[in-house]
Amino acid sequence: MARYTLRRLLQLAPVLLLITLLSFGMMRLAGSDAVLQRMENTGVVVPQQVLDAARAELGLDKPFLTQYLTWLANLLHGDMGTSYISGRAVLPTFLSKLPATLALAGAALLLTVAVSVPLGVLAAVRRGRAADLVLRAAGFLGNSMPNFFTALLLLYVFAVRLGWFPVLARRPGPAGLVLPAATLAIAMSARYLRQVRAAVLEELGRDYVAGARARGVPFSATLVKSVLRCCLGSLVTLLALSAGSLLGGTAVVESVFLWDGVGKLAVDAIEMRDYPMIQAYVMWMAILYVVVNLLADLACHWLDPRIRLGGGAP
Amino acid sequence: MKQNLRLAACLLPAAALLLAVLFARQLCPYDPNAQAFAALAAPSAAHPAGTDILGRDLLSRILVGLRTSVLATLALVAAAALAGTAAGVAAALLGGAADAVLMRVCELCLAFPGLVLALGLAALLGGGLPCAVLALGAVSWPKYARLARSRTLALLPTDAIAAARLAGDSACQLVVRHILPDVAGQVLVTAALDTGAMMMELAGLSFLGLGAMPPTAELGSMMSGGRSLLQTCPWVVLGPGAAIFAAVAAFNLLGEALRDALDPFVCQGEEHEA
Repeated sequence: MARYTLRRLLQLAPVLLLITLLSFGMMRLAGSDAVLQRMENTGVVVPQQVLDAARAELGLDKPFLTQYLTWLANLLHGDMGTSYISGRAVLPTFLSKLPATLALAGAALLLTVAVSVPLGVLAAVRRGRAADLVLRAAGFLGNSMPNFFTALLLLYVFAVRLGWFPVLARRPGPAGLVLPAATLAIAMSARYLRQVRAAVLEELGRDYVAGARARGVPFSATLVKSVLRCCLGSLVTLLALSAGSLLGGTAVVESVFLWDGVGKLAVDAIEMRDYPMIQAYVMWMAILYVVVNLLADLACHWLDPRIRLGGGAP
Repeated sequence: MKQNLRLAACLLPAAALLLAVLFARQLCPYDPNAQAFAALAAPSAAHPAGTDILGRDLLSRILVGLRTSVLATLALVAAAALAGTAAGVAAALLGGAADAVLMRVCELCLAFPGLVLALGLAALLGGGLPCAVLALGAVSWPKYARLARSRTLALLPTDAIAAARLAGDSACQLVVRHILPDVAGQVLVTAALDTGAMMMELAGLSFLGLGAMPPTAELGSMMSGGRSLLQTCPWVVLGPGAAIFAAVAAFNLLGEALRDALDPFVCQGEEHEA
């Protein structure tokens, strides 16, 4: 297990490096650099010499690789540049908004697991019966709902019509968290419900289930102690994989509910063409995603006693 | 026979959607851009979906917007599937360094959460519907490349390919006659399953202001524009939303039916996770 962990951590290094390279390279697509951005704000036509001088001062005339290495060195010192719009350092601004997004994503994840694991198991056990058909139809419909429509629909029904929740959750709080988290959870649950169902169904088809049944072991005991236990690893992996769409979904949901997290920060930055901020958002979200998947992999290995107790990683 | 009936029933909504898209202009009761009516009128017999803030008939705008969204989505999925398949087949045939580089690029693309990367790319490309399509396409092709590559690699050592080679087929003929027909089925199913999700993501980018620009009717941007009216005139938001939902559901139904029909190893209605 320790060796496996070490190996996975070592494999992480090149991926992280490539993520930074791609994030840096993406800025080149923008067609506008810090100098142009600053000079354009003054509204005066700037002579080319002045532009060149400013670029030389910022090191923007150097080759791509040199610039990247400088940028990377700054990054390692916690410096991701300053925002074009506010003029403040990007990284502290970003980090100050991150907890709100993590709280939202965490709540959505908990809600998803709480809803779709029991329902998915129910659908698998009652395969082909009414409960299964209803859940599958619900999963299909949920899978076809764009998250911004879900968000606006929930807002309309529960905030405007019923008045149960505030329409705008300006201040992060438990009441304001419910609707955004529910929006994200609906989209995730729809997919995860089907995956849980499929995983449990596959496990239920194994011989040991029939064997346990033949020996008179109560079905509920087999289900909880054996079937779910065996599915756990794949369920964790699938959940981690959907973290990608969860992180992307926060951008839309945060801007609909005005939840003050990094997603809304990114959408506002996009509106203002604040490229350093967009770059920070894309890079950190990718790193977060990679780390979440690594943790899920490690959890998966730890959950599998054949690997945990047997010593050798496959 | 029963299977075929089921498939036909699942194809029906998608066929209806396609017809509505093709004849959107003819189906419109009014000119979608004419500001000719009372602003923000509630749904009525004359305007089944109401009117928007500029006094345009919403049903007409929804139909034209649906056309924009669906055509852009189809172009996006087709481009991603074609580019990915071409890259994957080429990588499998060439092997060596080209293959290794391509697969590393795919892995890197897949290391990013797709929507986040698309968001960043679309923003850097400058917004507008073509940029949003390009950004999502850049994010989604690796899936097809991996699929086509693994399928081709599985096919290469078979006797059929060896026989074709012996018969004197050039690499080009090999690809056209033997490899593409085999790869196409799986690519088609994957593309069909992907279309609904892509439509949602494209509309999502528009919703965030990175897709179609205001004069063009597009469902995501229509909803974004109507957001502030949710409390007073909900139909401005709910109409286009329902249209996206219906279209995505039709595509998903089509995709799942195709998967069930073309993949003999899947029992009816079982979920495969890519």
